[in-house]
Amino acid sequence: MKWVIVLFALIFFMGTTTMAASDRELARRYMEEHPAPAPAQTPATIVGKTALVASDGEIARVKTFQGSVQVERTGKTIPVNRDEKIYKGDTLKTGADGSMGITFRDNTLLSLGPDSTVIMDEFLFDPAQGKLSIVTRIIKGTAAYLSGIIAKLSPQSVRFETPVATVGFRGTRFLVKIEEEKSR
Amino acid sequence: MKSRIVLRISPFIFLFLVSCAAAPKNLFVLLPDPDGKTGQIVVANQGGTQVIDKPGYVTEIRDAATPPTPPRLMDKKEIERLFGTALSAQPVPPATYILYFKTGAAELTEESAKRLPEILAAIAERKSSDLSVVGHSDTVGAKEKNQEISYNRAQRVKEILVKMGVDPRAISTESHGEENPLVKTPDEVTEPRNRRVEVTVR
Repeated sequence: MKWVIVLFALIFFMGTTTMAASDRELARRYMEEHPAPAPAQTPATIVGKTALVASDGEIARVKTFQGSVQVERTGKTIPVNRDEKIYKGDTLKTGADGSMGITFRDNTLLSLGPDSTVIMDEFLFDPAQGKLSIVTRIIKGTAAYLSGIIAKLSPQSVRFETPVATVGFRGTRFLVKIEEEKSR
Repeated sequence: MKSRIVLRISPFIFLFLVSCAAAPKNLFVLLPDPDGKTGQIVVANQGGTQVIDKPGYVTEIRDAATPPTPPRLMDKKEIERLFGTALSAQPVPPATYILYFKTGAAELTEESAKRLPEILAAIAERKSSDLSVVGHSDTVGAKEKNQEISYNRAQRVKEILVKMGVDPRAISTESHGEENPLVKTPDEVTEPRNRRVEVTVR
């Protein structure tokens, strides 16, 4: 009788470890299929005759904001107005009473709830040249995301990074909530 | 009797509450797109991968090494409670209008001219000062000539919009010549759908 229990325990244990292994394999394959985009290019080199990125490199504009909100650019804090231009590398922050929504040049919509921080890691939108990439990263808080033209043309060029996982898309609206680790 | 049961299980309730508070709750929720269709998200970390393809389903992740939980349906009220502010901050989706032109010219077709009031309505709805006007041509004629035609078309649409009361500073124009067709054709093919200006109201 004891042996039967031990045997079952062993089978169960093996089952779970192989399942975990196949999950890891899936994750690895996913990461391979979705490699990190090539190093950032300066706006000057990506703006060609047919580039759809506006000539000064703007990637999005602020469309809605409420309460305390700010944009950080190369260490400086920029006050937020309607249609404030957002550039690659900018950090968007909202306070306890804040919220903010932006529209990217490819029509992707991104909005932040209170106490949230999101970084604009990558943005390339030049369909004629086949240069497409949009990578945004949330540090903490809540966000709503509605993917745009880049996700339609090239889903593998869209990523949403979080401290605990990477999100890939197939033409999608989604929500994310990230809590800061208590130890930090 | 009742109070004794409560007393006996209360440490467990306490433990449950403490564990809820301690473990960071990171949530990923899929919603339907505005057109009613639902896409798909793939949530992956070192621990594993979860695919969500049903609206209102959520996966939870404790940390980067712990696999995402199997998706479960999330209560609508809970979504509203946690994400209501972020959702209400979402901008109105941009509207795109395609205006067509007569061959080789910067003259709108009659049907397209009739659509101009719709563009004004979209601008008013969004209180928009962020419009892009992009001119295109078909592949009939030389490349350089088509670049010029597409430029003239974009300028023509800008002129019309300004005459209708739109602030010229709100309009950015671009011309893509024959490089960015709506319908792919060989060279020297007349294609009315490529003789166009795309107006996006953001």
